[in-house]
Amino acid sequence: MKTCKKLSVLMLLVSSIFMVGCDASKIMETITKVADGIQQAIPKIKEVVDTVSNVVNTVQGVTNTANNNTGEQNNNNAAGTTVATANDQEDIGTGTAANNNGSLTAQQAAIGRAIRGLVGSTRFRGPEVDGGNLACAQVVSTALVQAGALPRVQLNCDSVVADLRAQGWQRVNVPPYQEGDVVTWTTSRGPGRHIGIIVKEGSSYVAISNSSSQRTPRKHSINYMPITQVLRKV
Amino acid sequence: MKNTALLVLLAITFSLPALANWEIKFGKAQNEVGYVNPPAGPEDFPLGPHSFRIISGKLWLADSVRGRIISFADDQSIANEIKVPGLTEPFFIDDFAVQMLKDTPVSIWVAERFSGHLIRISPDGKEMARIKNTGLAQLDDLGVDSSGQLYVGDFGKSVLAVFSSEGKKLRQIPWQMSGLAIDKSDCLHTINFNEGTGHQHVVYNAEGKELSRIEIGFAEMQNPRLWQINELGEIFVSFIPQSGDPTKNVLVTITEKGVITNKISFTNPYYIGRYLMVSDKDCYLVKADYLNAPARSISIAKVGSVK
Repeated sequence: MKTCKKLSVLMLLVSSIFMVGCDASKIMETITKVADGIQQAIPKIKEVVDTVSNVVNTVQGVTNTANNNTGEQNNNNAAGTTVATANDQEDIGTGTAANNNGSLTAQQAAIGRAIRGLVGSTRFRGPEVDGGNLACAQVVSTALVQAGALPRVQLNCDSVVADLRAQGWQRVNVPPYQEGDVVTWTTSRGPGRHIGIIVKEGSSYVAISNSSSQRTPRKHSINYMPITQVLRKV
Repeated sequence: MKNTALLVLLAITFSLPALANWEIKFGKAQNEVGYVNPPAGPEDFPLGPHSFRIISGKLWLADSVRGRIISFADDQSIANEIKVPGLTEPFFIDDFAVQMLKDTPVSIWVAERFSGHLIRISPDGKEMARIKNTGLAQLDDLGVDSSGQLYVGDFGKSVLAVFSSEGKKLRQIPWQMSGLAIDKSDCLHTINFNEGTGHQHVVYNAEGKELSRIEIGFAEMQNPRLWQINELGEIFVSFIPQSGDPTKNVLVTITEKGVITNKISFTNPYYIGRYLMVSDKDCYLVKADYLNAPARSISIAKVGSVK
C-alpha cells in the first residue's frame, strides 16, 4: 500500500511537471509505442487462439449447421473492425482465391466490372428503394445479376446474402480481400445493414456501395465503417 | 486505501491533458464543430469534420456539417473562421486545400459533396471562383499549388483532374486513389502501382509533364496514400501492410531518391476522409468517433516523429 501511495505521488509530481510546460512529447511517444506494441500483439494472440480452436474443432469433428444470421457481429479487433474468425462461423472459407493461382476468376472480374459501371449512376432512385435512400442491396444485387452471380435483384441486405449463400458463397476470413467480394457493414441501425462490393485499384482494395444521402453508388475505403462480414464464392 | 485511490485518480486526471495536442468539442458554439448523428440516411454514416490539415504549424479543419473552414491558434482558440459562401442545403465539405504565400493563406479551394461544386474562396470568405461542372464523380482529395492551380482526386472515376485558379479544366490523368501532394516548386507528386515492379513515386510539373518516376517497391503493400511532402522533398505515404488488414496502417517517410527513412504504425479512425497530418517533425492522427458524437470530443494527437 505504501509503495502504491509513493507511486501515485510520483505520478502526480511528474504530471505537475508536464502541466508547467515541460516537454511531454517524449513521454507521450513512449506511451504511444507501448500502446502500439500491445495493439500489434493482439492479432498475434488471436491467431494463436484461432489456430488452437481450429485444431480442437477438427479433432472433435464438429460440423455445425448453416448459420444464416447475416447480421451477427463477430470478433472485434483493436480498431473496432469486425471480421470473421475461423472459430465462430462454421461456413468460413479459407480466404484464399477461388482459383489456385491467385488471379481473378472470370466471375470476380465480371462483378468488378459491373459494380464499377454503376458508380455515379442515378438509376437507383425508384420508389421501391425510397428514392435511393435504401438502395444498397439493389445496387449490389444488380451488379451481381449483371455478372451472372445472382439470378435476381433484391431490395434488402439479408436477401442478397441469403441468395449468395444459396449460390455457394461463403463467409471468408479477411484479409486478404479479393475483387468481387461482397461486404456488409455495421451501421447505426445494426450489424449487416449496409452492403457493398470490393474492387481493386492499383494495389488498393476499396469498396463500392450506395450512399443514401447522395442516392448514388460511391467508391470509398473498405473500413469507412465497421465491417460485419465478407462473402466470397469459394 | 481511500487516499491512495484518490491519489491514483488525481494522477491519472492530471496526466491526461498532456496526451492530446488538440481537443475539439462538438456543438454550435464558435469553437465547437458540427456533427450529424444519428446519420441522415439509413445507409449513411455519422458525420463530422471530414478533413484536417496542419499548415505552417497551425491546425486547420473543414467543419463539414457547418460549412466553414477554421484554423486554430496555439492556445486552441479559433484563429480564423471562413464560412463557405453560396452553400445551399444539403451540403457537406469533403476536403479543402489552402493556397499559401509563405505563411499566409491566399485562397482556399473547397469541395462540396452534394452540389459537386469546387469553390475557391478568399481568406475573408469571398467567392473567387466556382466550378459547377467538374465532369467528375466524386471530389475526394484536393491539392493546390502556389498559383492557385487545383488538383482533384476522384475515387469514383479513378482520375486526378487539374483546374486553373480560375476554374478551367486543364487535364486529367489516371489515378489509383493513392493520394497527392504539391511541392514548393508546384510539382504534383502521386503514387502509382505496377503489378511487376511495385509502387512508384511519380512527379509531374505544373504543366502536366512527367518529370520522374522513382521505384519505391513495396510490392506486397496495399492501399498507398500520399498525404504530404515537406520542404526537403520527402514524401509521407501510408500503406496497409502485407497482412491486408485495412485498420493497420504504416506511414513511411520516403526521400527524393526513394529511400525509406522512417515508419510509424497507426490505426485509422472511421468516417473521416483526411485524418493524418505531418508537421515539421511529427505525425498527428485524428482520433474521433462520430458515432458517439457529441458525447466524446475530437482529439488530434501526435503518433510519432517523422525524423
